[in-house]
Amino acid sequence: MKFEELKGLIEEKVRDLGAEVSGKEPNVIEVKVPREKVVEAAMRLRDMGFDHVKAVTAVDYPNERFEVVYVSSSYSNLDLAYFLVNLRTDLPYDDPRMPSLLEVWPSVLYQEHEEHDLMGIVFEGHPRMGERLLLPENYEGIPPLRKEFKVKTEGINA
Amino acid sequence: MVCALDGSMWVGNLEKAARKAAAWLVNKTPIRSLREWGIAFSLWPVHFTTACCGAEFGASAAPKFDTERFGFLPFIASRQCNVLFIEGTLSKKMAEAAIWVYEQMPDPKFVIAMGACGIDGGIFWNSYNVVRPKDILPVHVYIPGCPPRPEAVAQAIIMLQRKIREGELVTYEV
Amino acid sequence: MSLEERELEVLIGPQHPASGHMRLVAKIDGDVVVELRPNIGYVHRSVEKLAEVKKYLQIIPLVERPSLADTTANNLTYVMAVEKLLGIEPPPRAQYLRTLLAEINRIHSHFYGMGIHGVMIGSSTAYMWCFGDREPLIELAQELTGARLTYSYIVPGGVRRDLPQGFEDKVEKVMRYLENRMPDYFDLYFNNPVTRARLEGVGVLSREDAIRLGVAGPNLRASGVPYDVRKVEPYAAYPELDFEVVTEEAGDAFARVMVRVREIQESIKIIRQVLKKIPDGPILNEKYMKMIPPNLRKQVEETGRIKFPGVFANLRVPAGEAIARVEGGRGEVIFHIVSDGKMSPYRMRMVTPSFRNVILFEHLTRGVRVADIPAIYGSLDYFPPEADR
Repeated sequence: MKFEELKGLIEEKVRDLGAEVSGKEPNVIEVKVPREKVVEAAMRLRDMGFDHVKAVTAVDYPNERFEVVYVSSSYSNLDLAYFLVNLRTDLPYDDPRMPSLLEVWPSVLYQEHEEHDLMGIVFEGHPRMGERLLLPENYEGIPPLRKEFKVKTEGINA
Repeated sequence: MVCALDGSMWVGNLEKAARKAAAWLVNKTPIRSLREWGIAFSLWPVHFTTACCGAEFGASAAPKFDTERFGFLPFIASRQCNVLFIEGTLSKKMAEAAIWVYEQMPDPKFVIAMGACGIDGGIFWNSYNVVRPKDILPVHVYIPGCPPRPEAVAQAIIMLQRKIREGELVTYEV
Repeated sequence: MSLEERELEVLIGPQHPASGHMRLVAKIDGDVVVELRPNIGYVHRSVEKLAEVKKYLQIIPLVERPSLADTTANNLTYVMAVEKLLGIEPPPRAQYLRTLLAEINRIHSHFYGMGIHGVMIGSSTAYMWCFGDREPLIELAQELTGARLTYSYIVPGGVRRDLPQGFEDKVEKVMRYLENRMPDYFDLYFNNPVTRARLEGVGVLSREDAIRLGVAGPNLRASGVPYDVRKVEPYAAYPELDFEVVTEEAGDAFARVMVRVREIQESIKIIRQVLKKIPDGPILNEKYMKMIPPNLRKQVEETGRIKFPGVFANLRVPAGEAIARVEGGRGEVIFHIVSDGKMSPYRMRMVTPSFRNVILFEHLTRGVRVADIPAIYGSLDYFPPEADR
């Protein structure tokens, strides 16, 4: 399948959700949807054959927004496996919650849990919210991957 | 206690005297060196992998480097071991476990800290989740390197043995 | 007694014979596991956070540390992501050298996994053999790069060193040794009725579940999914090389081990092709080569060892995002780098195959006997520092 062709196909599928579809040659397709529509968009992508998530990345833009990126691709259809579809959504900085995509993609179980643990994003509907994954049980304070959490540095960066 | 032997009379605490004699005897050269020799060649590190240096620790127990020739063989249960090998970084969660394991080990017990992380956090020195072993355990031998080569592990074992045989580490208290 | 009352919670680890840096929380009913939850995070060292305060070149050693037995995969993926942002391509010879090291690393990573699996199912011989036979490969990598495990060999734009003299012969010798050695493994380990009894039919992962759970690497291929990044999105020199994607249909613990064994044989094939086809030429991108001062450049050409140009010290990467993926020994490694044009990445997401396979502990152990837990654990080739990062 060609890049432009697939991009057009995805655009057609998710247009009515208010999605912005863009692409980065040769194989990355970006789909940006509002957070209310993210489950629906994920379902449509899954039905197209993007059957698993490789990575969930949450990015912190202080006092502006959080961005959550689901990097999905296909195992069952090797024609699609070449492409990575990034499903993105923006969350307001003071209210970082979004619906969990666990129902759509079971492969996000640990990935979403980790972003919750380290970035403090709440995935509604995820059964393990509030539990620690990587940090010690008694950890309190700012989630460490946020920009306001500073680690020590040395040398000219300090 | 009073004891009559051949008509002479000894006065004192026999049990205390016997302990004193035993302590004197056990710290006297032939027995003491025999005991230290025995400890030095029966080092049993507990099977407790703390971080990535475990890969090199595994290699040092394998055929090419074979630390078993020093009487050094990883063993399963902490109750039967006397060496705690900190293999690299100690995270906060793991540090708790390390203390539990250390407390369960019978005396005399020794700690070897492996890798740059075992000394001062190494490449992860500014991580929020790293504990320095020397803050929580009495470390006897450090192995620098990231990761240390298996030869360095062997060297550390020899150093520990030497320390034991010089009588620095093991004291016999009554 | 009701079922709830009969259930017992057992904590396995983090100090346990299977040399893992993790705790398994098992709910058992008699001898049968009702539910098992891995409690990870015992080796969490915040690589992603530290990357935000380190410079691009300093991150190479940092990302290698978590998966010590399979460092090339992380090194290569990270550098590929940075190269995508920089918009540079390494020269062909460097591509081949990367492939060579990646394959050497794949073989010894598989041996590592099989050896640890041997310990877990109580076969010390397998451990001794695997770790013993890993050494010649480590020696090769050491001669090529200068380190036993942490190579940091791959840098943006190329590799650090050229082939040493007479390296081809040594590689060939090791490959011949491995080929002659593999039948012994089958005689003593894989065809051993005890091994078979412990592994066959244990921890079966169906094709649908493997896809649904997003499993990576040999564990995926053992369930009959022919997904291999080397074929799907070829990188380095793989487009020009001829090899097969190894799959097994059974999906059980034995199939997962068999995929590794057969991948070792494929890797031997790849290494031979690499050494036959490797082109002559520079090993660092022309753009960076020009930045090396002339007197040092002469030295580089004579010795085949790169002197880093000054620009590497404060490498600035243009703003943007890049995702790179590589098939490492344990599976697919993903790096997602968000750059804001400064000297450190704005956000670096590192997804390792072990982290994606954690989910299998929950899935595969439901309803198995307690004694099967080590057999399943080992067959996943799970490396906790890699999962926790």
